[in-house]
Amino acid sequence: MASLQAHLRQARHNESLARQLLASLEYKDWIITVIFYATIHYVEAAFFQNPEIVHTETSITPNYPGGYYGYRSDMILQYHSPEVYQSYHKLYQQSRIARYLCFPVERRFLEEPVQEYFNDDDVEGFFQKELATIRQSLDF
Amino acid sequence: MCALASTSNVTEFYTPWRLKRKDVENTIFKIFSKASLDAFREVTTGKEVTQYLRAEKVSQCSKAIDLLDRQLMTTLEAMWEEVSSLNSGALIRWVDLSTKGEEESSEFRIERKIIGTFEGIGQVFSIYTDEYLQRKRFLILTTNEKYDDELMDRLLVAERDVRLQFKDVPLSFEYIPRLIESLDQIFNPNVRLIWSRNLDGVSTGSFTTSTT
Repeated sequence: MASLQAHLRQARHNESLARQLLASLEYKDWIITVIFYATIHYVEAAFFQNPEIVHTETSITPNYPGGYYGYRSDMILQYHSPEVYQSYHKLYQQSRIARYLCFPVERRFLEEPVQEYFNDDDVEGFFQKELATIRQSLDF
Repeated sequence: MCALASTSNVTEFYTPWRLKRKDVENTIFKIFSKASLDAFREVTTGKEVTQYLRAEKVSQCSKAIDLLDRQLMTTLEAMWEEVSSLNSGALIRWVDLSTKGEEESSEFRIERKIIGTFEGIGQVFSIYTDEYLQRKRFLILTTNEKYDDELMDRLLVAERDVRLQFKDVPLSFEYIPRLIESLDQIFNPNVRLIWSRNLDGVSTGSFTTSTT
């Protein structure tokens, strides 16, 4: 279990990589994924400051509906602003498409690469708008 | 009320009543409306009834009806926002449960809210539900072929509103763009269609597939 500082260092590390990848926009799938992983660490850092949560891994009860992602989603709904909810869930949803290229319900797969599904502005928006919203709203 | 119902216009082209979205809603309020009660009162003061009931008795009944009317309208007014957002399937289900005096399940209440909320977003084509990792999951199929940020914002605002309303129920949402061929057909037997938008814009409801 990471400390507050460890979460923040990892978040900034991921954010820095996303910034570098954005320079060429060649790897949109990885940019989205890295932005989401930066987001998770900012969110976990915020949880660390909340005595009701501290760590997702230690606070979650056995068989919690939806596992870690379900728990994080519920905690964000309960403790954080609509803006954080919006940005976090947007990145969560899109990073899943970027990572797996499929929709689990029917096991159907994208027929074209994710680069075609997102345009450059979408990906830049995830970084400039959504990640920035998370960071600023959580005071990091 | 039976008399009113039996005078339907038989020359009208037949339309499945479940497809008459707004009509169903309007009909309910017509049945309960003041005008109908006034019409009934007028009939009761006529010869047919006063043959059997004294004028005082009719007046007594009329007062009782007024009281019931006021109670009913108060109840309906409080529910107006909820009722007016129902689609045909959900509304019919609600009427069905109401007339049987049954309580609707929380599952159906959630589905009704989901339908009422998401059908207002034009790009939403159909809504399925299942249970995944112990959460009631909603699969929202949308018509966009490319990522649409504005749409995602609207969907997530709606999602948060619903989740806040049903805080005690673990819910999850997935948004599936038009990357699969048929938007209205998911063949997974574990998922249940609760709403879809037909090509003519008329929605089909949850009542045909709901297991609640």
